[in-house]
Amino acid sequence: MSQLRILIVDDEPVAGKIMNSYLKSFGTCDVVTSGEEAVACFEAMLQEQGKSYDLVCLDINMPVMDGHTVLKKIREMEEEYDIPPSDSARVIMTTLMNDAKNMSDAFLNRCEIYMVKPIRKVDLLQQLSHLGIVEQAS
Amino acid sequence: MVHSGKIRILLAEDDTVSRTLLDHMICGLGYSVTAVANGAEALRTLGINPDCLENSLRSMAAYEAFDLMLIDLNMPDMDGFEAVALLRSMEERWRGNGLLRPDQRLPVVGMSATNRASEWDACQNAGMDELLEKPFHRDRLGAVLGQQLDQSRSAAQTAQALPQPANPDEKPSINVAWLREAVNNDPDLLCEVAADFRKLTPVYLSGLAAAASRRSGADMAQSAHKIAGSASYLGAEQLCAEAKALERLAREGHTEEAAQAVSLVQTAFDRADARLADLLQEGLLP
Repeated sequence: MSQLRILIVDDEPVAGKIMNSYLKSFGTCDVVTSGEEAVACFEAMLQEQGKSYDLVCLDINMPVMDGHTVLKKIREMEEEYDIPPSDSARVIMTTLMNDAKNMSDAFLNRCEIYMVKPIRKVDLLQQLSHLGIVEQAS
Repeated sequence: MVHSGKIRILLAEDDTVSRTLLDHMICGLGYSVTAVANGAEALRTLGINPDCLENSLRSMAAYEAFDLMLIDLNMPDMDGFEAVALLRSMEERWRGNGLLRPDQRLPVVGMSATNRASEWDACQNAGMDELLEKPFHRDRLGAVLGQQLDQSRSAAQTAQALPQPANPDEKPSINVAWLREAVNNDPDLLCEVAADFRKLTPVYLSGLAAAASRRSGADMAQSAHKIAGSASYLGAEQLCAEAKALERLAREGHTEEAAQAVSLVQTAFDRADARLADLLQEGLLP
């Protein structure tokens, strides 16, 4: 499979580094620590490459701009740049919060997967293989 | 076993004839059976919502009613592989929430008409314990079920025989097995995240203390959330639990109680920090 472009968003560096270690063998990971940086990276990708990230791992609870807002902006930008749904970014919410409100908000904003921290590598890879973006690791 | 009486087997088999035959076979072995027709139904019977794990039952009664699951690999509406993978992921989640003891795990035996060698790897990846090649005789089924039930029972006994911490509610300061897995046994990554944790948590803690003295619920919640986030990946389970509890108090407006809980978070961090230092020094980590 081709190299993936992956955006990891978490204001807490330990979580970002662990996610990066899980995913770096699948492609290039950009790791950012705020919602604002995430939106900027996403827009730059659309402008410069004319495509979305293949995968976004997005924390929810962040100061200034939270993950729900980032996700909304991602979907708006994709529409603005006429990215067809088949090429849109696959978004996995990665959060400590497991309440119904956060989950339903995330799915309303069209995330693909919702995972509760701490996330295990095997579970993450299984979800990625369900999404069809990596082959099932043995 | 948490329940009394007969051992209960959950049987998932889509073919009506096979299901009836298996039902009889299992009853004949002295076990009781609940039979369903696909993987999704099997999960629902265990209290797991196959469409959304998050919305699964918080009560463990349905899950704990069964001692073993016997599941066909090939079924419409969720095959055995997917159902078992979801079950294992739900069990992990329950363990994380403290709803399941670390040693609790439902033994699963898969059944398939194709030859065992070709599917056994996939079965193990999904989290199955054994695979029965169809067709099988009642004696073979009895032997496999007996062996799996024995193994599960002795694993539970071993776990219970381990020395218990003074406070049974107390979670480990550092869960070493988790930490090893999270850093994939990579010493460089371990050093990096351990250093981050030991450097940043005190920063978050002072933010927390400052927010507590201002009685600012929102700021306390934010700091506690960061502490819980990194603690979760370090396997600092007690710290993570204390920080989450404080975050919740702060979010729900119990500012006074949250402020009082700061010392608990501090103590839990001190323990985790000391344990981590010991582990690094003893070379017990990668």
